[in-house]
Amino acid sequence: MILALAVVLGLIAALVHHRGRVFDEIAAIPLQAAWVAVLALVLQWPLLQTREGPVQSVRVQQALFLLSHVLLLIFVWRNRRVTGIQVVGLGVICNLLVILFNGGFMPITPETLTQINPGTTLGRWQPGLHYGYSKDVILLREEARLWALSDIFVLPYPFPRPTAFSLGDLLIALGIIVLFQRPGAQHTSGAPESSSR
Amino acid sequence: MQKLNQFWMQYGTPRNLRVLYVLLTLIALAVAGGAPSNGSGA
Repeated sequence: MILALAVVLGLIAALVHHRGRVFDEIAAIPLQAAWVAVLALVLQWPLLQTREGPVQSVRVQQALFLLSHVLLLIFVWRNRRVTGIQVVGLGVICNLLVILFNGGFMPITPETLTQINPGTTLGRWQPGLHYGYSKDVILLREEARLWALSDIFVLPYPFPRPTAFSLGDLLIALGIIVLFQRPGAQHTSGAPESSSR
Repeated sequence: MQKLNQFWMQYGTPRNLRVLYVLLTLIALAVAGGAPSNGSGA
């Protein structure tokens, strides 16, 4: 939800910034290798469709999920000169680091889960289990490595879809918003600002 | 079908298709890169 919101916010800001030229500016953003990002999303789908259960039962889905992050890094590298992608890449790396340090899953604490699942108690969330329909593993705070980079931020109820997200997610959202704001013709790092605009 | 053809003729320009390509790419990147955790994941 938060990242979809970033795309929407980026579009709105681009509409305000570029006005009548917004479609021309978006079309001029030199993104390449879209298939890599789409394939990464496809590889994550099995894990995101699996219900709560032991992490051992989702090893194949987890391996595909990790492979998807390799693809995301490839996509970021292929588009590294596009303004904003560097910030997105930093977000992907932050997420990947905490995932690698925690056995291939993003940690989430029972406290956070009670915030995004109103009406549940701490006892409902058993540490060590894969949190269903997500990339997360339920871990106590003291067990989660690089906890500060994990899903610790919460958009709680009454937000339409209570959501937990990480610093990496924030950076990805910021990078996407930045990407929409730079005129398409300037989407190479170090390109001089056009004085005619 | 004819209306669909007319719609495509009017809006299916290379520029618009490129805009769609960019937007879909960014959506895929956003979802794949982040995938925040939602409630009701039981």
